[in-house]
Amino acid sequence: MPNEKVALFAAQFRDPKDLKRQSNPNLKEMTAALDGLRAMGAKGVTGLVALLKPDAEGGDVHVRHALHGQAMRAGGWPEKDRQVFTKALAGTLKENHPKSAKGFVIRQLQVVGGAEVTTALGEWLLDDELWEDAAQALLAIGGTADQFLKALPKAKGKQQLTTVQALGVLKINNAAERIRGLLTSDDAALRQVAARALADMADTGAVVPLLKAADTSKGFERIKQTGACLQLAENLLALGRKEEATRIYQHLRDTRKDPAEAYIREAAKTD
Amino acid sequence: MTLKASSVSRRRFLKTSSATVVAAATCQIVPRHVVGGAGQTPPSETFGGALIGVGGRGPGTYNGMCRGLNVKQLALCDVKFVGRADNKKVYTDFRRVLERKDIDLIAIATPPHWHALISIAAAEAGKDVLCEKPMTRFIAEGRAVVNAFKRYNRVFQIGTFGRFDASRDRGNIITHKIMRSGLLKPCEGVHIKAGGLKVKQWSGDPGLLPQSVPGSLDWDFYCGPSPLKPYVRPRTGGTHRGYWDYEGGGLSDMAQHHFDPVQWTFGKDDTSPVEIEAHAPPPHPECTGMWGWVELKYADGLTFAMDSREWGDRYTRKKERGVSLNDLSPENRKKVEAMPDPAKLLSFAEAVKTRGQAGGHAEAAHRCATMLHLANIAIRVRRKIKYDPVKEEIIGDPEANRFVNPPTRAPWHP
Repeated sequence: MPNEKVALFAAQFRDPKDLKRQSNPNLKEMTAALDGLRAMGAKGVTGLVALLKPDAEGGDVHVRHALHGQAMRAGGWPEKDRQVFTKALAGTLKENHPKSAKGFVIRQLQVVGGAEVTTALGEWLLDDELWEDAAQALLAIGGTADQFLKALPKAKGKQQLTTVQALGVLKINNAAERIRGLLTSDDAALRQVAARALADMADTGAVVPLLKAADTSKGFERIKQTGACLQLAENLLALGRKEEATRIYQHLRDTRKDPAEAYIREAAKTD
Repeated sequence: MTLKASSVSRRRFLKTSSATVVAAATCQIVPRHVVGGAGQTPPSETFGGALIGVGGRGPGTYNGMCRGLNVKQLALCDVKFVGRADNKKVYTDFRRVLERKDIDLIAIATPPHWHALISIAAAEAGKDVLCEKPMTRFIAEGRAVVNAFKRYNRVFQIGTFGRFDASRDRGNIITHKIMRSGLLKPCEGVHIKAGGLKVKQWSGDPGLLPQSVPGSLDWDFYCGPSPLKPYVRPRTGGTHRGYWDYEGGGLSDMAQHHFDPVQWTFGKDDTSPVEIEAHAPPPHPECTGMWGWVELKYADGLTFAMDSREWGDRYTRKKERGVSLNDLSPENRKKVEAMPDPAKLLSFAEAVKTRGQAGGHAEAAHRCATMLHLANIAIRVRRKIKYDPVKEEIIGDPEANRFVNPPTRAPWHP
């Protein structure tokens, strides 16, 4: 049930002079509205979410503006207050709101959520519509490898791409063996994402399969897989794994004989 | 050399470009790698060129890349060429362009959310790049671009050229030397950019309902690393500037023009501000909007400020103040006067021919873009932020720091 008080506060975000261009927002009124919403605690949050409409319906620009404005402020609040906000927000994901509204809620958790909402977000990683929003929120929050590792075995298609890339970004190599197997997938995008993820993880076990993948691929994929090899070498060097890194560089110097790949030989020089 | 904006209209450019592409297909171009050598200069001194992103800024960016070089245009690429692409001369997928071995130079004039990814891929493919400004959509991808061009020893030049003129001005050279000497501590210099940042003009339009995607546009590819949102026309075609998913409003777009030469003059090509504060209303989640002013302070005390003059209070904290030899002790003044002048900045053409570093190189462009991104982060979080220019992280504010390196949509990852 929409809360009338919340609706009045949200209405302060309308600009009667020129809403379209947001050319003259009234700072005083907007600040007072956000203060009023904050004073309402969790009800100020759930009340706003209840006013969100599906993307295709529209008419909730002011509500989205108010909710986002509050989310951005909440990042600067004391931890207890921030969590009141984020827990209330995450709680609405279990309610019967439109999918696009839930996507908006997840994107607000991306800017202000913490460890307290990662389990709630993880439940959306395999959702047909919201997996990318959930993945991006979890990546932004960080320390969320468990959620992605849990999703990995069931993730297919674009969800699998997203999950593998996320594990690379988080530099979590618990799933490295499984990801190495994707280097020979039928899906070119997945092969490239897997290669980059292994490079980001500085996976020592990826040296041989990654070089093989780069050697045997053609066109743009060869360019990207070779790039992943160089990235892996740099990351291994940073970890003190000089032997494995040298092996990559030496291999690239020995095998990139085409004049068009002279720059790769140069890039593989370690001196 | 200052490159002036092209007076060639977009329609005329595309017409003549298509003709050039056809002509080029009929005569053999020897790619520069064929003859090898340190400079990889082809016998004909002719380079194969491609333009990725042919909209508004496309012609100007491409012509800027070609200035001083003999370039045959071999490819045009845009995600709005669906149904028109032949994958020989006209493309929708930049990856097919980059895998061509006869193309040496890439001009990038897509919306900014693609700049870093295409630049990096071009470097990985061994190409030199002239990339439209602003360089990036967020800070971390700028560092990834710098690393890529360093790794592959390729030439990068940002598509704004004011620093070339600035670096020839005697007064600017003296300021540059004073700042680079490190002898001016604290620095009381203040530079204020007041107005001209097109804040209202390039703020977004948040009230639109989803529309049908035009048949000629690959919308998923257009969104690329950014979130896949429902299509509305203003998210494309120049007005993309008003959406956080693609750019940072007039501030990102215009301020790289203004601050790039200023950054050179004040010797800040290798560092970033450490304290940033803004006066702005609560931000909209999708669209860039209004703001009043932003103040950015460097570790040595130098202050840059942006005063929009389009909303809220004016910037009154400090007044414009230059830096002069009179700010130094007599002893330090002599030291600065004894310093050699900075090396001449190389144009893109000179850098390509000599394999040197272009004047608007990746690190400098990244540092300038960082300044703009930090300003926008301060506008969005509306609290003072502190930045570590070495680690390239916002200090003590994890929520604000999320804007330094936001996640990208797979498979795109800088």
